[in-house]
Amino acid sequence: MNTILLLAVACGSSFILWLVGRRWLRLPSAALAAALTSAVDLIGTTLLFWLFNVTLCSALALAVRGLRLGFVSLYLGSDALLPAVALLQALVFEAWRRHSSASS
Amino acid sequence: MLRTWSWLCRAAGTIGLAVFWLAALTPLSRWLYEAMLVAPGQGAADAIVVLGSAVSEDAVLDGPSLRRTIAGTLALREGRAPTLVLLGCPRGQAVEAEVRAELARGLGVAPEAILMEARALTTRQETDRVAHLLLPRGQKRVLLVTGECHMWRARALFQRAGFEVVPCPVRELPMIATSPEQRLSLLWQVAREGAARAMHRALGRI
Repeated sequence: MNTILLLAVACGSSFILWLVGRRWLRLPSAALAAALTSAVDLIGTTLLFWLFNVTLCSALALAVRGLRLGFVSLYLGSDALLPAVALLQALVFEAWRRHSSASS
Repeated sequence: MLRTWSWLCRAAGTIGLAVFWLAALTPLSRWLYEAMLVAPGQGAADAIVVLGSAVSEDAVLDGPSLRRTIAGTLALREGRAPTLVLLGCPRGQAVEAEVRAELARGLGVAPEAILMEARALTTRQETDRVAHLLLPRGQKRVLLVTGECHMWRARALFQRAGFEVVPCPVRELPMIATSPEQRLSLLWQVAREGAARAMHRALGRI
C-alpha cells in the first residue's frame, strides 16, 4: 500500500509538472525527450563521480593506515556526503561541458 | 573522447535508474540479501565471540552493537558456552567493549565469564586478537555473533585463523521490507558487504 501511494505521488506530481510546463510556461513537447535524456546523462555522471569519490576515499583511508598516521574505516566511503558532493560535481561538470560546446 | 564520455554517462545513468527502480519496487534487494546469508549453527562452543560495531563518544552503543551484545548474552544464558568475548574499540573516552560488558553484567552475566578486547579496529584485527586470546587456552570452537550480512566474511576469516565456527547471525535490518526506502537500505547493505568481500578476496584474505 505504501509503495502504491508513493508511486501515485510520483506519477501525479510528474503529470502536474508536465501540465505546468505545457500550458503555463508553453514549453514545446518535443524538448521533453531531450530533457529526459539530459537527466539520464546527469544521473550517470553523478554515479560515475560517486564511484570515483568512493574509490579515492578508500585509497586515502588505506594510505593513512599504511603510513601509520591513524585509523580510518573503509566504511567512511559510504558516508552520505559523497553522493551529495558527486551530484554537485556532476551539475558543474555538465554545465561546463554544455557551455563549452555552445561557445565553440 | 567527448562522445565516449557521453556514451559512458548515458549507460551509467540508464543502468543506475534501472537498478534504482528495480530495487525500490521489487523484491530484488531481498533476494540478493538472502543470497549473502549464512544459516545459524547448532550446538555448544568453547566461547561466544561478539564482534564489534560502534559506540558514540558519549558511550551509546549503535543498533548493531546493541543487538549483537544481547544475542551473545542470550546465548551465554542458554548455556551454549561458558565465556563471552566482547569486542569493540574506543571512541573518545568511551570503549565499546566496556560499555557492552557493563550491559551484559546488568543482564545477569557473571563478571568472570566476560573477556574484553578493545584494540581491534577491523574484522581482520578482531580475528587476530581473538586468536591470541582463545587459541592458547585451547578454546577453538567459537559461537560467532555478528550481523547476518557480515557473517560470511567473518566466518571465513575466523576459520582461516584456525577456529571452528558456529555461526550465530544477528538480524540488523528488516528483511520483509514494506517501503521503497527499506528495500533500498537492503540493497545498500548488499553493495557495501559485496564490496568488502570483493576487497578481501582480491587481497587473498579469504
